[in-house]
Amino acid sequence: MHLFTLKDINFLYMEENEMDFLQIALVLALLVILAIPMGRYIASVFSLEETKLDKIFGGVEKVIYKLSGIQQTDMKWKQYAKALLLSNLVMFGLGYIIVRLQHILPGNPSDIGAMEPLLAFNTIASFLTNTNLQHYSGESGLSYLSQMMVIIFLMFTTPATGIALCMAVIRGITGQKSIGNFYVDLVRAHTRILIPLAILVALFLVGQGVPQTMKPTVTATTVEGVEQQIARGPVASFVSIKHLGTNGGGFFGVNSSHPFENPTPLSNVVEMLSMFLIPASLPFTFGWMSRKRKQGIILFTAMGIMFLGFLSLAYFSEANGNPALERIGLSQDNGSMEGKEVRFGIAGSALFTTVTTAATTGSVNNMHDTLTPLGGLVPLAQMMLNCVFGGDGVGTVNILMYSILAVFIAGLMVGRTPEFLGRKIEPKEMKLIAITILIHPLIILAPSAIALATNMGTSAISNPGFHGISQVVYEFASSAANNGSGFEGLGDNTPFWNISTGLVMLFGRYFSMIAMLAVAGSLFSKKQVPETIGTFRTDNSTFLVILLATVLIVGALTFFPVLVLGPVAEWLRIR
Amino acid sequence: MMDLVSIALVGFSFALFFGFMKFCANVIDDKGSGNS
Repeated sequence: MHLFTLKDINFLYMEENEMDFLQIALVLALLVILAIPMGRYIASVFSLEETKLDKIFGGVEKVIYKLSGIQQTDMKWKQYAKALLLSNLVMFGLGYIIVRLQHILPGNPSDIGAMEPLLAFNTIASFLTNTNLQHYSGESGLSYLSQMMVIIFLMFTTPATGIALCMAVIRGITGQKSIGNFYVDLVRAHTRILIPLAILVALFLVGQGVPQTMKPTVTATTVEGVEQQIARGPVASFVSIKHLGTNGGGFFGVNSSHPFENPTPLSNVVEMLSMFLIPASLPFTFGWMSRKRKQGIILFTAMGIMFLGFLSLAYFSEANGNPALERIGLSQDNGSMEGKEVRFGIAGSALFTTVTTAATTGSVNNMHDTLTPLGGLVPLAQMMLNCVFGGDGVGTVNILMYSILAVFIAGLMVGRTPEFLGRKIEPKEMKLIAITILIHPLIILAPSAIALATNMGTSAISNPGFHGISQVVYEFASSAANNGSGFEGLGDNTPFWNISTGLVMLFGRYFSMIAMLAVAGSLFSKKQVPETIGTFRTDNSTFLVILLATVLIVGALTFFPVLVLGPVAEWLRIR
Repeated sequence: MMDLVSIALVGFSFALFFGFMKFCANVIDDKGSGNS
């Protein structure tokens, strides 16, 4: 006989949605607590001065520099951009050769065949650009050697490239000693940030039950007497960098909804924190490096407000359930649980979806195709804006780009010379920023229009109508934002999809990188104008509102029509 | 054959990126900015 139940202890008992709010609040509070010191740490890693960290990591780095012949000299922006492009081109070549020859290379105990050429192009473009869009299933499409030498390798180098870019842009905008050296930044991002963090997270995941083995798949006999192949492998090391590097590609086809990738609610929390940690830290890094900490806080707050808005929409849409299912008698009391893991529930799924598309990771723990229409609008909109924290390095660069645009617009409106951190913003910088802002919608909307107008695209749609439009637009938005998550339900392993999304991923990554390096180089060469009473301040709440309005208005003007044709129309139809 | 298509696609893309870099340098009238 029970004397009392948990319901009787009022302070312990909570309604389900209260538990959800507590869970979300705890994760976000933990994120802020971790991001502030992490931002300070990253600033010290990429400081061009000698630091105490050199004593710990300096020895290893010196060996790497010596073996690879890296000269630690300062680069101009063009040298930096060339080094970035050439090193990425070489990585593409190596990766492509390995996946094409994996059937005759060692490390293939499951005898997986060579990857088909256009699928290999798409796969390497995807992992090279930090997208990790997968038109193959990880456990059956790649050998262990390919997983480790290509996929995990690129999962380290591409976030490191993004972080290096971010540091170069910050140094240029804030007028440090120089833009820096790409190779030194790339090495430091590995040795001082990604590798130590990846080891810690991988060990934690092993503790939660994630496999880490080189043994082949297991053949098990089910209770019905049927033989079943259970895939396994070096999963923990893969999943840790998958999130820390905002990569997103799964070891298994179903990604982080697979119990071997994400076995417990605790692993779910750590995976979300892992993918958000570096993108959320970099605004603070910017504050430290510019010696204007308030400026960093403003950028973080702007991204945080957008994130909370999208998270609320995703959570309440999913928690309210699907009205179409309710009408046919399926209870929606627990929310829209179609396509979700029971162990994560609505809160763990909605938060994961919002985080993974804000940080452009692309890892998923639920089926995005089965999100409610407005729940599905959230990942789409975040990928379209591409600056709600964003991927490692590139998200902060994007919000800096919008900050410069906001300063320019506000300066014109009030009749003051636009300045950002004491450097005049002129038409030449604005031309490059305008091109960068226009390329993103162009490479989403133009191929979506082609796909929807031709049989090459429409034949892949599994759910015609408004939802089919969302499926197509999502695929290109995910590629352009270098996110990599899929709405799924799209038959995308065809020459059309492999070529089109492969090119969109490459264009989405490198055009903006080059343009922002050029802007940083241009601002670097300018003399700093002393701050006066007439200077338009960019570290106060007024600027915060202007920045938010700039991002949201530009985003709405560009993408609202297609959102109306897809998720909004679907929502109006089923509600 | 399809390998050649893949090589052409990536070659075309990176040629565009290097071309875009030159374009950016022209836009900002670059004369060696970015270094101390």
